Amino acid sequence: MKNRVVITGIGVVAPNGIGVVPFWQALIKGTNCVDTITFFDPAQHPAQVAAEIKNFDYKNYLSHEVARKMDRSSHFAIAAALEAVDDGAFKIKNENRDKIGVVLGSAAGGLGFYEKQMQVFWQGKGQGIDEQTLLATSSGTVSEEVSNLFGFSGPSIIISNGCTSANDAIGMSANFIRSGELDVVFTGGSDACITPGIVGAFCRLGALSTKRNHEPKKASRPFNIDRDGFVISEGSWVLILEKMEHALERGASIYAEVAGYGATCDAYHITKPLPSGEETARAIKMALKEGNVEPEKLSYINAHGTSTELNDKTETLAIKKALGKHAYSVSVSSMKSMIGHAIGAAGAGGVAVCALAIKNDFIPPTINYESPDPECDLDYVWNTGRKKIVEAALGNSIGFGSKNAAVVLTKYKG
Amino acid sequence: MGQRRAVITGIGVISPNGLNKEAFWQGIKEGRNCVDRVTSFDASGFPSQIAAEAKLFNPQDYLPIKSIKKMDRSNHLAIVAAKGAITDGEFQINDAEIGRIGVVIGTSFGGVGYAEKEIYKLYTEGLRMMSSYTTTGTFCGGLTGEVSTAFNFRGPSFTVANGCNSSSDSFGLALGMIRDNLADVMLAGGAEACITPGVVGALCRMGVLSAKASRPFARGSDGFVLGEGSWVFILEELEHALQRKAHIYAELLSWASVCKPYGDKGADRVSEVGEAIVSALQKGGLDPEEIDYISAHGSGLPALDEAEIKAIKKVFGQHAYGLAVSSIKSMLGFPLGAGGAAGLAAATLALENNYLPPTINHEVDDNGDVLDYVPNNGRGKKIRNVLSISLDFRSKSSVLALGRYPGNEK
Repeated sequence: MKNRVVITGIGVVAPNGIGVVPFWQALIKGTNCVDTITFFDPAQHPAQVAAEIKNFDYKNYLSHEVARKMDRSSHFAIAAALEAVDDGAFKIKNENRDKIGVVLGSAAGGLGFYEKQMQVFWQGKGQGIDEQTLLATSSGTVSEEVSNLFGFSGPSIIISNGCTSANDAIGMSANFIRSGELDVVFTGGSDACITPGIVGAFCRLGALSTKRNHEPKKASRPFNIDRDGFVISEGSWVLILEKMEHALERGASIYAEVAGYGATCDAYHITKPLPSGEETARAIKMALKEGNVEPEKLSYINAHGTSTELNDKTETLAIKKALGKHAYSVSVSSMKSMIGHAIGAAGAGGVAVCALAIKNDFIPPTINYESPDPECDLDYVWNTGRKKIVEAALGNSIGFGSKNAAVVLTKYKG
Repeated sequence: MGQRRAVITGIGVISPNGLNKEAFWQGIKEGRNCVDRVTSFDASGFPSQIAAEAKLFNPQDYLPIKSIKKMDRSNHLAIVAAKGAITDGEFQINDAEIGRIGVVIGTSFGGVGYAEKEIYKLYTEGLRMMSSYTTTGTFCGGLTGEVSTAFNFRGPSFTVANGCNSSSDSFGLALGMIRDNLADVMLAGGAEACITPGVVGALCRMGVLSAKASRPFARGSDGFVLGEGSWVFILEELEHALQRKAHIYAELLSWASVCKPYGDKGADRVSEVGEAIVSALQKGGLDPEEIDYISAHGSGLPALDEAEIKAIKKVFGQHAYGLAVSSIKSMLGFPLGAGGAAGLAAATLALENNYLPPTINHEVDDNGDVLDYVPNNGRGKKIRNVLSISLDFRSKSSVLALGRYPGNEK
């Protein structure tokens, strides 16, 4: 018999709030966090909007001495992990450290740190680059610093699968607990990609919204027919995944149960999704099947919903393929309409929203609804969130590099 | 029903000493030293100017120019190594099962070389000159996206980017995916191509690169030598392998990965490495006395080499002097995140051939308490089970255990 896995804590560092309560309140209200880029001068960038975390001060979590050796993505992950410990009232004891692991997703890791150092480097000051560059750039440092902070000595892993990184990290974490390898995993994702180089690279790919630099609040508009690309964002979400007995024993409050996970690859194109959506649908079906959740029982899907032309219509098609007629009854929303796309961390945000929707029986909206797309014809919970009993929810993510990952959560009923 | 078992049925290699399994094995068997002056860029301004480059590898021999330009060198290496594994394993790709074939590759830095070039363009020539493939060429996820796509494998496609133990942990995840029934076949391994001005510069600043030679376990070693390459395996569910009558190199018995605090509050690295070894032995159902060979991390960083040796002595006691320990990094340098996969390839082929690859550049330690590092010359030895150790700089330690199939059935 495999162990059951529950979510007992959520830590958030997001453009709309730091801590799970502000995050959820902002989502319920539909707060729009997209604005003109302030972190650097985006004059030469065709896309000039982003959802930045402006009120994050790493000093609330770390000393400057420690923090300066890390990329912003590590700062985020540490802060989110501390928030999760707080939210989950999780006590770290010497005797349980060996059975606690850290598995986080990050698409870029410390690439932002590297970019800054390379600026120095290419300006001919090769000896002047920071001696921390190698470690701060390595994605592995993100999980290492979280393990190190708490003294967790289980596996400390970074999954770097592009936009599905965090969903895949959560899926692997659940499997670690199911198989008995670990009792607790701190999982989720972190990315800090609002840098001239990374935003520039996404601009060159043609993936970002460029038409609404003058009205940034309208730029992220998933499932609208006049969508023109995604809005880049940043942040970290860390979930405490726990073996059910372990959680019950310590009297933890349970958000939801992690019921199933599915991962597939389109093997089609490095940036474009398979037009038929069949591999995205297969990941959804795998996750439902593992969780013993009949498609009709699914109440909510937190969609990848990036606001790119191809993603939104392909994802819609995939949901129809996976759920059949029930696709028109399930509520589907994209928080990217409010807080943009946090790349490798986004999936963790999506699973966090699923857990909160289950706990609160409430579905957050997709904002910015203005122009319907006939190919996107599901219930996207337009503009206003609503009360709904949420028995089962699915966090979906679709990534460049052809990857698909879905996580299914269910209401915990003992 | 018992636990699903995973076996190694194919090995593909792109390495400084050759472009396939046979050349790799021949090279390490003979103790061929592949460390030389850096040729891929002008390293004259750096304190360390040596590396083990995969000079024989020319991506144009395998891939169209158009796709070469869209990818980092680490992707080229991984695609070709994966192809090598498929050929070596005589693996026929059957359309009916592509959904059950996945890819997990470990890397420290993925496409950092691609990033480096494009960042240069951004800051000198402007955004318009930046490649439109910079995201997919740079992000570690692009690596496995490209490999899965190259072979139309539709199972899970994962890049593990943990640092220097990445590829050992990639085998751990692949093993888990097979056991958990997420896949029947996994292409698992590592790829790294970071002999670039930026990474060499950063490593020099960190003070870990040797300016002389790769001398694992040797007294007075002044650091490690950077390497590169890709080592990809076919890891297959046992019944699946038996059904297609595949050649079975070995069974992947277990994976253990430990992360202990570093720095001031740090646990000592000796007990951490020791814990990882003990955990791998336990999970694999092995007694310490059943291990005949350890493919060591042995990078040439004195503190880490010392911790590894002490951990081996601590765990194995008297048997530490009965087993053999060698480091192929003495010949091939240290390909960072791909190091674990390279080490596992050496371990697998040692088991297969009952032969110990040497640690070259070995100088005898005079304190008398030395392990059998297989100094300078390889030799034959009956091998039952092997371990492969992979360590990150500060706090991550991973160990894999391989057993002979069907020899490990007691």
